[in-house]
Amino acid sequence: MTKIAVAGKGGSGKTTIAGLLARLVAEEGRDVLTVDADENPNLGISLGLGVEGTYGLIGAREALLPDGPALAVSMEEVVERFATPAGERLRVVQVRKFDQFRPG
Amino acid sequence: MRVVLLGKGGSGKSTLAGLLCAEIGARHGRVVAFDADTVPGLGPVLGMPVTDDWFLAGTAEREGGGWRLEGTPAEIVQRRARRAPGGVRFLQIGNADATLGDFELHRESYLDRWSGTMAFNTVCRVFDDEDGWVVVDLQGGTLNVAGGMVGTTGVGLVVVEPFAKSVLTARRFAGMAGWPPGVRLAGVASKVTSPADEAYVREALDGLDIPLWGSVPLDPAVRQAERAGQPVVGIDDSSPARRAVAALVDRLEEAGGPARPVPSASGDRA
Repeated sequence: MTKIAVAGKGGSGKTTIAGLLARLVAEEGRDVLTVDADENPNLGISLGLGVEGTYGLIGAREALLPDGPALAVSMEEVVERFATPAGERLRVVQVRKFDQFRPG
Repeated sequence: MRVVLLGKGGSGKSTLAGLLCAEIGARHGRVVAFDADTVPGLGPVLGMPVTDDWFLAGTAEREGGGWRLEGTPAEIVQRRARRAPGGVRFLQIGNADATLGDFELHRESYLDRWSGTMAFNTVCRVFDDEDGWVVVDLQGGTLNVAGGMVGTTGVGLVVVEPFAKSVLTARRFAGMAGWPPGVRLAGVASKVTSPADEAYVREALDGLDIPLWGSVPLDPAVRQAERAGQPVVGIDDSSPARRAVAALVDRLEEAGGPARPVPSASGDRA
């Protein structure tokens, strides 16, 4: 398995590059799992899910750990439960989603 | 009047913050600018040297279950803000050391340290310059907003580039539950290169019930200043971006102007 991390300043093009890379590798016939670990996740846009499709993705971490840091399931199960198809051989897991106020 | 810059990373929040400070400073001679990003970047935009300093270090001590501040938020701002050109008082309040990482995993140490997050919540969130303007430059995305860093009053200016990813971030702000009742959301189109760009942003914001209050063109003067290491606040006030921001400040002044009272019902000032 090959893992590729894409890093850089906000707005520099990380997500666009990641989406293109994923699509190209998938077109070569390999299965690709993309992980959007940005706290403001946009990768779905680059993978063609659109604004509403990306907005609707669930944050796997929030869904799994509502009350604290106790991961009860395996990574495989996380992927199984939360990966969304984004084309041939291509899936996306969104790690986090901050969509409500939580003061304190 | 508080103006909080919101938007996707790279959408132009800091640049717009600098242009707003330039315009407000020129009009009123005074504006307080907070850089709340955990990776601070507003200083150079305002003509200040790059520094990793956290300006609120040592302004509070642990006392019982809370924090004892060395003065009122207004006194702390007065003491700790550094004078930038054009009447700008600059305060760098984000600090990566204390705010990066996983809050849930390190909750105890976060709550026990005088950190950027704590300082924001006890000083900056409740600070409003009764006589003037406060411009807050937040980290990109919704994380800081979800933590309450938008404050309790003023205008949340959502900076939107003519791109779907930028619109998605605006969509998240529009969809967040629990906005403080004293905060109004308004949009600004950023890096606009054509009427079609502006129309794209306007239509997207219309769908989110966020009014478009300004449209700032992609301005070569801003790019040149940035590349040359010159502050955005220093660009010519006849440049297209500065003129667009002047119109935006007109709109902000119409919306409430300075000295908008903090609603006492919010409880955050107690």
